[in-house]
Amino acid sequence: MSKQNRTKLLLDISTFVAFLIAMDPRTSGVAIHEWLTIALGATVVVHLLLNWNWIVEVTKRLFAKGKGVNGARTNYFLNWLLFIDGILIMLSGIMISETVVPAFGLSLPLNFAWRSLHDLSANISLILMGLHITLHWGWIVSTFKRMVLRREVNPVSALVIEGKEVKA
Amino acid sequence: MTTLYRILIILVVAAIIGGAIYMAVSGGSAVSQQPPQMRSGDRPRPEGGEDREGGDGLPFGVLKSLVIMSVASGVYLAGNKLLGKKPKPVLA
Repeated sequence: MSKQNRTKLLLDISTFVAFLIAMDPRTSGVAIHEWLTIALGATVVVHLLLNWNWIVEVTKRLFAKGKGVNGARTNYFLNWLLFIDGILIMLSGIMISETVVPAFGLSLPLNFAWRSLHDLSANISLILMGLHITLHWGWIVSTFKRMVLRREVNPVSALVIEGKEVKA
Repeated sequence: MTTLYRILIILVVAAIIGGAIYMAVSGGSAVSQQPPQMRSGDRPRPEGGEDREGGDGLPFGVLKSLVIMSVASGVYLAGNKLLGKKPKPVLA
């Protein structure tokens, strides 16, 4: 398994766990909710960077006709919706922030529309995230299996299989 | 350097979308210069208590999130099954 796939999977699992924690501010508290979401923004950027080639390829083939393009197109538009929804969550969250924004000595005008938008976009993100995971489930399972199986392989046979490790 | 350009592209796209959302939401009230008013359905974030310091330790929100995601996933798969489509595997 390539190192990049391993990194992708570990990052995605961590992001998903952080997402679940961030979606429950009543349990974690507002401070953790806000700071964790800011950190999630950074991991989303890394997630996009790691999948940059796929994004570029599908963008190029977006209007092409062919077998298998429709599935990628659905996935592509779903990803855009998730990205836009993520921005809406972040923006509305910043606008009603009680910890992060005051920590920088700033105060933003109160507008209750942001509160409603924050709740709405958070609920939508759950649906979109469910669909996102469903569409990538095959990759998640196969990569996870390869990662776990690799660890279960006898160390001696692993040395034989992987040339680099034999040299080391 | 390429990575920096890519990060810049992501941030610029995010800033454009965020700016558009901000204009759409705050545009009206900024022009009218009126203080925001609470509508009947709006509620401020409660001060103090569980919402600020963490709740009772039971992650009902996490369970709720997992249930909603599972339902969304189930509806999608059931829809595909009804339409006779097989979900397309994604390689990345």
